[in-house]
Amino acid sequence: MFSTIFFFEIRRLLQSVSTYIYFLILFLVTFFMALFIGGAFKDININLAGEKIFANSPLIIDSFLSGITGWIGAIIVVAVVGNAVLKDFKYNTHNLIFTTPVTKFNYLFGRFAGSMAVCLLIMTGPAVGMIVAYASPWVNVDKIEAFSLLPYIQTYWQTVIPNALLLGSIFFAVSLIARDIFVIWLALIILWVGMGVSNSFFSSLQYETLSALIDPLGGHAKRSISKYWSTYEKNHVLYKLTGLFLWNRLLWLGVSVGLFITGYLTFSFSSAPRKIVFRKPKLTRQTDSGASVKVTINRSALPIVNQSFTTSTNLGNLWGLAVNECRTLLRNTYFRIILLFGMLFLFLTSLQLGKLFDTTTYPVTYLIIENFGGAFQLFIIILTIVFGGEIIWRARENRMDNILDALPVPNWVFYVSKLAGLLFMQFILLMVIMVCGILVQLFKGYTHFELLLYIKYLMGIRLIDLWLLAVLCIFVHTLASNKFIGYFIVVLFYAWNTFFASLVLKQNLWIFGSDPGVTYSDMNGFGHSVFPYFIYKIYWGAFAVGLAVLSDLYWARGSDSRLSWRFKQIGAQDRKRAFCLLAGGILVFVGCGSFIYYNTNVLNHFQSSATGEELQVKYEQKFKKFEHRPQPRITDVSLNVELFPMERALYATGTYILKNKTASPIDSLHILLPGELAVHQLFFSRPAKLVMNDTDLNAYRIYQLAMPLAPGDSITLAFNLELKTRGFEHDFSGMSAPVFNGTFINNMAFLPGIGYNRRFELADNQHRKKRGLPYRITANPITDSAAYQHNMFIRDADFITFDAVVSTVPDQIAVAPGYLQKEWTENGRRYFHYKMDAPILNFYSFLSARYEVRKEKWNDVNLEIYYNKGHEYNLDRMFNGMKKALAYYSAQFAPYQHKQVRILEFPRYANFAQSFPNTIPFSEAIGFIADIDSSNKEDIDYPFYVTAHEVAHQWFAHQVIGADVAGSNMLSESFAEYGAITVLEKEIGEERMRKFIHIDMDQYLTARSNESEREKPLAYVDLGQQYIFYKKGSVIMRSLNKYIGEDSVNHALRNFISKFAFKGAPYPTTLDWLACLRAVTPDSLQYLVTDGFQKIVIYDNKITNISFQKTGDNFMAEVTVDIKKFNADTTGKELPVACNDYIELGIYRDRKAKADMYKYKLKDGVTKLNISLPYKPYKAVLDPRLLLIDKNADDNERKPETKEIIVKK
Amino acid sequence: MLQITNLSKTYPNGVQALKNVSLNISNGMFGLLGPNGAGKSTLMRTIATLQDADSGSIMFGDINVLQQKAELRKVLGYLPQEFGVYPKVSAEEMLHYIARLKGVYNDKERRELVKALLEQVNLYQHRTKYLGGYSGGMKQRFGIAQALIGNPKLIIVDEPTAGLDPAERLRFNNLLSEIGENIIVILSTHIVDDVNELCNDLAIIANGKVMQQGNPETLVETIQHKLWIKKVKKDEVAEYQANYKVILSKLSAGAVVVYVLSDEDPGNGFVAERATLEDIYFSNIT
Repeated sequence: MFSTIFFFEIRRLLQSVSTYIYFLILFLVTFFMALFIGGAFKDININLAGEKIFANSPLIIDSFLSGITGWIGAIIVVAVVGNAVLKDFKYNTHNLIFTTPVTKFNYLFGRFAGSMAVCLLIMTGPAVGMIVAYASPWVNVDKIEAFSLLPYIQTYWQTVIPNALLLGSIFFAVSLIARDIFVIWLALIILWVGMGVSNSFFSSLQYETLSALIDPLGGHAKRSISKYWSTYEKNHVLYKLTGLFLWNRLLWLGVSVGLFITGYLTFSFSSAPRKIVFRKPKLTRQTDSGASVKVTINRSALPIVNQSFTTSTNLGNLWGLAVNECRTLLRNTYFRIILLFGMLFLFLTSLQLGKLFDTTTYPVTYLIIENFGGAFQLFIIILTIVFGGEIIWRARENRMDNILDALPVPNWVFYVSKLAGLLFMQFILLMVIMVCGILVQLFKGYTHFELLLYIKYLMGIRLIDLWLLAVLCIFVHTLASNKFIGYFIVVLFYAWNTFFASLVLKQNLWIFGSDPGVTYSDMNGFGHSVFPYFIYKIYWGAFAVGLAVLSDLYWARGSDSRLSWRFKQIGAQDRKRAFCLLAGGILVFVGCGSFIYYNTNVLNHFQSSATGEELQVKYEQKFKKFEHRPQPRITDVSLNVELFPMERALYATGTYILKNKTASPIDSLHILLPGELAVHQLFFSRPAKLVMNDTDLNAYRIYQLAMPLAPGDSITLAFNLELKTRGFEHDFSGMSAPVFNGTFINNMAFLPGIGYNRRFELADNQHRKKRGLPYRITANPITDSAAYQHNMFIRDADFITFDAVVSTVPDQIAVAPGYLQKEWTENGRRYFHYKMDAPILNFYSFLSARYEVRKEKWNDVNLEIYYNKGHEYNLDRMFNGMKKALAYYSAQFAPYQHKQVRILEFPRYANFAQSFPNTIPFSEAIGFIADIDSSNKEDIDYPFYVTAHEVAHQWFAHQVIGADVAGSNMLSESFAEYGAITVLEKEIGEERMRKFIHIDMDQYLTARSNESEREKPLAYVDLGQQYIFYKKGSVIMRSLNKYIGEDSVNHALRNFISKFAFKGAPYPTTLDWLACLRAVTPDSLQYLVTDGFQKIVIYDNKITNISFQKTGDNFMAEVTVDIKKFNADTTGKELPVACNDYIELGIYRDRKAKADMYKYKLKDGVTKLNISLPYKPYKAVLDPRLLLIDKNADDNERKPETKEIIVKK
Repeated sequence: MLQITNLSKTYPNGVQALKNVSLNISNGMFGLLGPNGAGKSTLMRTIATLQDADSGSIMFGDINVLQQKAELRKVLGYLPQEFGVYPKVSAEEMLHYIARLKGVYNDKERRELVKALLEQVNLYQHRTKYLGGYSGGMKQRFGIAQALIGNPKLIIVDEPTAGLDPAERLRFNNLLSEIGENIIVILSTHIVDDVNELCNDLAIIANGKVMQQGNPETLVETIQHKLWIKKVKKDEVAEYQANYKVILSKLSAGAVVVYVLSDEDPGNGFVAERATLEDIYFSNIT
């Protein structure tokens, strides 16, 4: 009996076309994505796990196949397995089957096993697609290694099949319980959202184990295993079914069995389809009480009514009809469930609001909207797509169309009322965001409600995009011959438009519903993003009008569904009107389109990345030969910068004094100017002739001096420049040009530079290879002493004198480095004269905004914060950071060179703070709105930390700066990190600092695993390897601080600064730093310097056992430790090396007390340590202060098993 | 006056649903009688503007129905043969909705109209109940109520009694009995009694063709005294069908009664039978 049902099910499914379509979809999706990853498309580069990971490495095969089968596959499981029993109810065959002698067991298992088997067959589609894609001639052979079937088999065995079984059991069980296909789809959405929530919820390090266990598809478990894998491991190692991954699989296998049994038990062979009832049903059978009464309709007794069929009545009716449509949608039970679920989702995600350093921000309105909008957007889109189809097909599905179609209503009234119903639904959903947002703000005790912002952001910006989607949905469903084809087309188009269109089409003029992007900032509002946004929306709105007219013309009416027939039904008058509207739409569409094109491509230079690269290639080919041509250096800068925030323009006049610091005369000057600049005047104090002016990538000018500039001689360069933003750009940007409020612009964006600059070269070596350029080293070798003549930031100057007059509109304050000499108003403009009294790097910024200013003092240093009104929350933390940092650094490293520190807020168009001489622009996004709960151990005072880091740069970068060679980034960033964490640790204590360091270590280990080129030791680090010079740097420097001692490390830094500060060329390298460091390091610890800076050393230490015995009053603890030390070579391979290092062991008396620290010199391998304790040990932790980089810090901790205590008693 | 002239329609699948149909229909209840598949619904839907014919024309007064669909819809009341309802909408709500669509723009008038209609079709007490729970008879009564909205000049009622039990059918026909005054009501049905009870004019349609048109009594009169019956054995029926113009053979207590049309007394044991409309119907469809 079982086999009959089983094979019948398989046969039935194999005869169904949809089975093959599902297979084909999976096949094609994987095939094309594999081509993308395999590098088949020149301009599109996708890296899933690092540049050096093969496209068919086990890791990629696994993540790829499990991703596709887990997401798209889930839909197919619903369609196949979810329907296995349901179809009997749909076609009423259940009456026949339930009356045969088949048993429940055979029936259910037969159906389940049969449909599941076919599902698994369908799921081979992705593997086939992938294998075929990689075997095809289109992929880049460098990205593919030799074919092996094993990883595919293992992925199926460990992931794809268990996940399919899990999903199958869930949806089968739901289908047995609810007997409603809609509920199954709902279950799928709930599953997806649940996964999304747990994803966002448990993304932080402390929940890693939990999230690995609770992810039903096992992705997190695998990620936690592989996140520190080296390139070699990623390319060659298969996941083993052990540890967390095994537990995850077992857990969820158990869950599937449990679900299946539940479904099995609740199912009975009754024919009455059970529906989930959410409230008392009103749908009761009516008894026909008029049975015996003889009634005749008397038409003449009906009240006389006036009828009107004019356009104005139609318009009047529209409102009522639209409300009716909307009410119907809102009354839908599924709508309500999804809505409820979405709201729950909103409240859950609100707990993670704005998290940075595991610390939330205040629930400011724009964050609420962006956060909620992002999360809830998916719900709104799903609801729009679902009900867009529903609203069109409802009449036909309910066979109401026969009545409605014969009513004296023009198509457009039907069309507009349905559209309006849908638009109204979207409006209500956005109102839900607003209400939930306000509730969350209220709940968090935040009462600064910005209702107007809610309305602008939600109703002005979000709603338009949703409306466009609604028009599209209705258009598709109007033309589609059935509902599911309609859904299919809409979803397909949406996926294409959202994910792939920009990759392929590039210019957003062709991407439905596009805009250049909108960024809200508390400082600048929507700023200059509003105008282009609305132009784009008018453009797409006109397009939507076209769709609307077509929907109206082809509105389905009557019993003939052919499009030609539908079109014929339109009356001549209506047709004329429609064509007029269509023509109007096209006119606006083309008009706006041309206007957009004019702005983005003519006024501004939108270029695809390919064109941009080509220009970079040309620049390098034409001018690289001048790179080492001797050029004079800037020694003095004097500027007059006029900022026009409202016009988004600036005018700069000024002079540089250029000095020939070389030993040879210089006969020509190379001037590099940003491309957008208008150069009104540029001349020298001596006769010079412009001999070349190349403007392809930027302006490269060569001036021939009539008389060469002799060594030691100077020349003045004077210029008059204008930076004007013209029209709007293809992509919104708030940086590098003045904005309405919150201008932040540095000299590189608008002032001339001297000589060739490597900065503009094409950096990506894979792209260089494709374009025929030689391999480019990312940094000069540390031994290249010629490069010591330049510092790492600026080639065209050493230290300079600086003087600037900045002017702006009267209600703003303009700031540049230096001290304010004078402030005055003239001709309706506000002028500020700044002058610097100490030499600075040739790197400075100009800011202008409607600032509030708060001032404090530390000793004789003026502390000032320029902030946006309303952002007072963390000013005290920042002042505290400045004071503590200044106190510590000036005591430990060197005196502070300026008399002032200023922090200046700038809009959240970028998320960083940056240190300029006595001036620290600080993004509003990284600290101004942080909500730090001092009583919460998990919260990190990051405004303090960021401030301390930036203040440290006044020493490390602005006093001493490294040469233009590998490793120099460490000298500014690792030292700034060191300064900041040392000050922070004093502030918050060692215990809480541990978490911070743990995050740093985790980020270092994860990032090194994704390294695209090769990991360098800290002292030879490359410019791009932020994970080394920030994350590893902080761990290593702190480790030195603890091992060698704070005084010694600071002493070394002090020596280093005193030797090199403000010296100019030749600049120091990390070798100089290491010399300073080694001088203060005892011989026994010299290995720490070598390991930390010159090698890549990783430990994998753990405690394998701890036990203790009571001896007299004391306890004798025995801790077994297992030490492994690795040295990674440049290919990423890790080789075990001998260890004889000092490692700390902490013993805890109980949960709360501080650890007692013991230091051991441990060899690699297993060692037993015996410690006599006056108390019963609670737990032992190896390296509790996280001084060593450990691959797995979780196993460094162990508690004695209580069982043993009993035995020993 | 509804004038249907030479209307023909062939579906894409080759079925010829209407063949040169011409009818003149004046005020009153007009019965369109025919078996299933005769083309009744095609004709009704064509008149109701829901589909087009391949050739021919339909004029309703000055309105050229096939060209001026919007005009006709303003004066049309239509109860389709097959129609569904939104299950979770009440009758009252739905009538309001349709009234609005029929151009009854004034809220107060619309409320009064809906109330009066609900009372007239005896659904007033069920007005707030969801349509999904209505019985077949109630649903048809709702159907006729919606068709009456807005002073229609032409009402098309397509097979309204199909699927109703005898009591419901009777009640429904009662409802309809007087709506045909001063306007045209076309009632299509395959039940002869419906026409008998309600119509003063009728057409019999079979295989897409109009077989006969006229007043029921006049039509019956044409075969009065020409109808003969005889009780025969089952196995003899085929023989009689070969030799006589048999319009109907009916089972009766184990034997078969054959109905034969003949101007003269066929003899052979046939006896005269009084003709009814049913006999006309069967004489036209066999």
